[in-house]
Amino acid sequence: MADFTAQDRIYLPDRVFTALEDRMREGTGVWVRGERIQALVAVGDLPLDAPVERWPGTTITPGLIDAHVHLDNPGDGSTLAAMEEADEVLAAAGARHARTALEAGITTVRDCGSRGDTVFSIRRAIDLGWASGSAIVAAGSPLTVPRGHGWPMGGEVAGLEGVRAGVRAQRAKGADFIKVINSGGGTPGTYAWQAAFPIEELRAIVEEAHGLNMRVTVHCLCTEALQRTLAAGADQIEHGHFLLEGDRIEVDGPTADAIAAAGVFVTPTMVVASSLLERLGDDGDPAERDRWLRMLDGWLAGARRLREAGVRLVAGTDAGWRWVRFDDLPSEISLLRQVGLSAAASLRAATSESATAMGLDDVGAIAPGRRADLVAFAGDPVADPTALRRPVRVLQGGRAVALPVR
Amino acid sequence: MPPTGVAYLPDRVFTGAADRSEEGLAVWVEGDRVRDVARPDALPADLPVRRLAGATILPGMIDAHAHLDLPGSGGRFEALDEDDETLSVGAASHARTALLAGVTTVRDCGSRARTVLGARRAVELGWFEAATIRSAGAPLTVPRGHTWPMGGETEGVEGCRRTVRAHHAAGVDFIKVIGSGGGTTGTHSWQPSFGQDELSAIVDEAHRLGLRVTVHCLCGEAMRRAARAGADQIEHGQFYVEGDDLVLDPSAIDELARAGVALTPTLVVSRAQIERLTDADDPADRARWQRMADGWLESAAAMHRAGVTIVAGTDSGWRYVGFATLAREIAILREVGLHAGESLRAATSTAARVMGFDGIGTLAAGWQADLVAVDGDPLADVRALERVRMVVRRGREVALPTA
Repeated sequence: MADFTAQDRIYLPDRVFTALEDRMREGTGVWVRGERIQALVAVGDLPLDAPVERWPGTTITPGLIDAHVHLDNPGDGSTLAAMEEADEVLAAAGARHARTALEAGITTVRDCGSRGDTVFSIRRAIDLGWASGSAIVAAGSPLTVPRGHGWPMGGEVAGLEGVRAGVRAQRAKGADFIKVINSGGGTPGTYAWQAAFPIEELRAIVEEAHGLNMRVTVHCLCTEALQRTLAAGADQIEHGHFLLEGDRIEVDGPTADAIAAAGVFVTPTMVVASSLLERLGDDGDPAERDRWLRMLDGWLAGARRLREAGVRLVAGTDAGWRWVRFDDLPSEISLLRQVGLSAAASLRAATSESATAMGLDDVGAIAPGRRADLVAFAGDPVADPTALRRPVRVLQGGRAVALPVR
Repeated sequence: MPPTGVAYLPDRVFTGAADRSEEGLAVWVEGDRVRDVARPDALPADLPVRRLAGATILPGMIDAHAHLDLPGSGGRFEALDEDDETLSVGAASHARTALLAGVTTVRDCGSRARTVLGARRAVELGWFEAATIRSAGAPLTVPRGHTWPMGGETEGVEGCRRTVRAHHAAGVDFIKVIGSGGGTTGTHSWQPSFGQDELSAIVDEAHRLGLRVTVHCLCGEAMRRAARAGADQIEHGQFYVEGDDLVLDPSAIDELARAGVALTPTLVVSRAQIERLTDADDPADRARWQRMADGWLESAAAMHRAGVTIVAGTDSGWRYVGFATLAREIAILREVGLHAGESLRAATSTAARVMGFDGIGTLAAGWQADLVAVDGDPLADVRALERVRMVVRRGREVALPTA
């Protein structure tokens, strides 16, 4: 082993989950040099003077990735009221959310839609060192049809030239990827079971974005929206539910198969329903509870069918929306297990698989050269998923994140 | 019905109502209020008790002078190149740094208006846990006067009144006026800025609207004008003359004392700067800052001896002053001549009274439950203030980071 420098640390947990394989490694340490992972090391190979730090009882995993958040939104049920506030207020709140995520071991979040330039400002403040939080992969305003779902965020576009210009505008602001709203959703006046953009406009968006080296992910809540999205060649789908008018859900097998054949990743965000049900509790409105129980069942059924078809699922929470909090990723990981992913696969859906979907090659796995974004959980998150709620150490780019005393 | 809330039982309680602390008292917090400060045997027997052995509880501290827009990592106004939202994020984050250091209220003495008002709103909504922010918006200043990049330029009696009204409409908590030059290129500390008529109009308009006024003064004439205008407070309070020397002006001190104008000397600025200088820096720089440190201390001491009320503020954000430096300013106030109890009150009860912050700064029944527990006795050893064990804001314990 080469000489150690002041920049070196070797972290020794009980187990290491690299996310590049399903097995847990024991007797292994993670060697970090500065901001980067240098290598995995066998404990037995370490010289006596190695700069080790022991983290007994823990499992080190790559820093988690939440593939779908809305930093601007409060996640406490007050989304619509929150939209009344000025951009500066939302930006401040959003920064706090990025910190909440980081303290939960989520070292990267992908913001799937925020108002105006707020998410870019949050990222700028973090880059300047004025605030601390997860690394942010940002879309900025999601592209939506006139008065479509999410229109208050500022991304309304129409017509072939209009949508292309919309893509370019987001790129100019610093967007890493393009988010498209292709069906209605929770915005009053929109319907989840109705597709939004015509195929030609979707194709134009995808073409323009790919030309600028940006991936495209599309919010789809109904089968028609999914089919148009596939026809347009998009890279990823958010939610991917199969809603029909009247809150019914009918999982469409051929569409699921087509998504798999196209190699498109899906982020089902099922925790939106489970967190709302948890909030309603036993004394909530029975009609609401029934509705959301049906939703959750339907979304689970849809995700199950997708998995069976071979679709690659990614963990994202929709944090900020309705009652989803910014540290709720462990709940989504558990729901992915319910739809049939193994414990290890569900963890990969929140690490390496997510990074691959986004086109990121420097996070999401423990391998030489990647950023030293690491989390140590108390216990073994593969054997016991509740361990994901007990991050005891978080490193961001090799630097320890001060965690609140719990 | 069982009692609600919790009784915190430290070794000592400094309520802020007197200059001493008392032993054997507990602070009962219920909801967002202090329900009582009393001996444990005078409180309901089944009230949960949190024993804080070795600690002193005091009111959550108040920093009377911060610039939440600025980073406190060197530099002056460069940060203002960023957009409002970015600055707002920074402001909220800096207010959180203060909170974790036991400062539960920060009075921002000048920013680009929307930024700190945005952060203030996020904190009020409970979306960002940080110190309560009181904002002046942009400081009123003459055209191209000190702090002009913050956007508060105004002039003329009518113009000044209009600006005060606009600030009030935008929701500021108080009015900050730049009464002389300062650290902005093109201004001179020894030159007063607003005329007497303008300053008097500003104070008159502000008071009419229920807003207090503080004036940045780096020369004697600025202080005289502030006193005659009826300002409530001055910031820095230094006596620069042409050539940048400091020459005490006893008559100005006298006017301030007789007018009952309070002073926030912000002495930690020069100390923080000196600490940053290394052997590689120009020795003339170090000498200059040392002269400033000594001179500012002397002025503040003279003010204190003349009976001017001193309030603790740091100028955090500016140059190298970080957002957790109030404890150091309190320590320096003891060098100024304040005794231990007075120096703590300068950051709690006295500060709240001078600045018109009702319901905070003192621990008493019915007052807001903003408090901090530190290890040791800050009256005997001011450095105890840097050993924060617990912070409570509006009755809720703040989760502090692990050491």
